Amino acid sequence: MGTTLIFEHVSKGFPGCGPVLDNFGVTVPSGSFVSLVGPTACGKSTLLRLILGLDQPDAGQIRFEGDGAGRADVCAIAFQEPRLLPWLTVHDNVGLVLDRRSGDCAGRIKALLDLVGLAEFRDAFPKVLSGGMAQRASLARALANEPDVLLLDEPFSAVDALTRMRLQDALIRIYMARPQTTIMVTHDIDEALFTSQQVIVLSTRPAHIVDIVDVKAGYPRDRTDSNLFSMKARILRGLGVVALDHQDGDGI
Amino acid sequence: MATRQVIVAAATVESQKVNRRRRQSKSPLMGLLLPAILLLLWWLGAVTGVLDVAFFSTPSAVLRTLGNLIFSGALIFDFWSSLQRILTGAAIGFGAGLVLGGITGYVRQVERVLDPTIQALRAVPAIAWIPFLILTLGIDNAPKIALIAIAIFFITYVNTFSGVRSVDQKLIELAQAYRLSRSLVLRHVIMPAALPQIFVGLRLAAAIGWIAAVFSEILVGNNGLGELLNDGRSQGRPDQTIALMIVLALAGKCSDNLIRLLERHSTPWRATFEGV
Ligand SMILES: Nc1ncnc2c1ncn2[C@@H]1O[C@H](COP(=O)(O)OP(=O)(O)OP(=O)(O)O)[C@@H](O)[C@H]1O
Ligand SMILES: [Mg+2]
Repeated sequence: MGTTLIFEHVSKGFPGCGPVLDNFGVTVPSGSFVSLVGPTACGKSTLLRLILGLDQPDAGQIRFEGDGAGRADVCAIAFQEPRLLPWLTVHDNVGLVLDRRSGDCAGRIKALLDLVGLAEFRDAFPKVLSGGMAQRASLARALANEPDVLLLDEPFSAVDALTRMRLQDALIRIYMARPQTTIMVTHDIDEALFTSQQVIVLSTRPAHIVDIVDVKAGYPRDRTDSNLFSMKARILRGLGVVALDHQDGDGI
Repeated sequence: MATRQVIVAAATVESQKVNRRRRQSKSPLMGLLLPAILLLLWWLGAVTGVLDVAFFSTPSAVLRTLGNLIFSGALIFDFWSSLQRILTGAAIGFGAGLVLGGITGYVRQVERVLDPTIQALRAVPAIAWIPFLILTLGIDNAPKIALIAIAIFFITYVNTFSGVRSVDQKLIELAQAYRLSRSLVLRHVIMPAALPQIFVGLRLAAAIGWIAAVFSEILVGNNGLGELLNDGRSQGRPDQTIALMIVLALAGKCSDNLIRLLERHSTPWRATFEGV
């Protein structure tokens, strides 16, 4: 069980917008939870697309190492936009991707919808869902088949602070029960520190790795842990947003 | 939180109901307003002599003729002959258009081979097929059905093709990312996405079906509404031609309504602008 992702000198550009990823190299060990933080439009979603094989890198490669049959069966993603099929109900959207061989489909879908708090809306069409509800449906779909590699692109960007914390807790619970390789893109540094073992800080486009912060604390974590707070300062420094006067202790 | 969600759901249902009620209660009456005005003008024109009765007939004469045609059974018989042709031709043309449009839309390689020919044939006006069809199929039912099928085929083909091509690339990517099987992609991604455009094609097809049927019947008629229209002309009876035009208007409107009803029922998920 488990899949290790190895990025080797991955570069990717798009015609008309120049290089997006430049010589990106990192190893995501099997069963680890990694967060990607970086300025907007630096290439985070592009990186996930490369992992999925929706785009091919211009140079370098992404290797999957593990007993899975290559990337074919191991990845699941919650895209940055929910991408629900408008003509399927929430229930059927999750059910569509569910592996038919996995036994009790109905029970599984119900459990997933309960998990993300959408049980009441199982028969609703996506057009009546709010942004955050759609995002949660998309998360339920990503979790449906218990993937070896879980890719999450800003999965909680559209939900309120409290729901977000509950979903983070749920995600950690799922992860602890079955530690799959997880790569989460987020703009929320607290979220990255609360959930992941490694936070990869990316630069502006073309994205390269500025810093890799290892978070050693075990799960479940304490949101008020002061060690996490010091790491937050380090990540912010990596992102280049900590003003000098702030570092001097004057505050803003 | 759970209770709040229930209330929200209930409110949505309620507002949908209100919307529907508003649509249902207002529109039919509003829609009858213009025909009523035209009828009134026609009647006024006829009684005051502004409209020549020899050409325009009168509402009462038309109504009487309509009654006679119905009770003699002629209208029923001819209506049924026309309808049968349209349904047969539509089944063939729509089926073929759906299959070919779907395949060419889905497989680029097939598009390269088939589409240029189909587009070229589409440029031939449907009417231009008639002499050829009469020569090859005679003057009975076959050429009429063929004409209807041809006209409907091209409309269905074009709309199905563009329906398939209008599928959101992001949803195709989603299917790729989740390794959905081809049959799942076809059934649950491409077909539903193409459905609205296919319905546009179906509505156009129904209209063109009636046109093609009546046209071919006027040209070579043994029976059908077109033949009745011809009778009215040759006997110099405007009341009969007008009565049949009304029948055609009603039939066309009914078939269109039927398709729209079907469309609403099969695409309840649509979240598009419905007009203010
Ligand atoms: N198909 C494409 N064609 C051209 N340019 C693209 C394409 N996809 C992405 N880009 C460009 O690549 C850059 C990175 O895009 P990407 O979606 O990876 O950003 P991101 O890091 O996910 O940003 P955000 O945090 O805003 O989601 C952007 O400048 C975007 O314009
Ligand atoms: Mg992104």
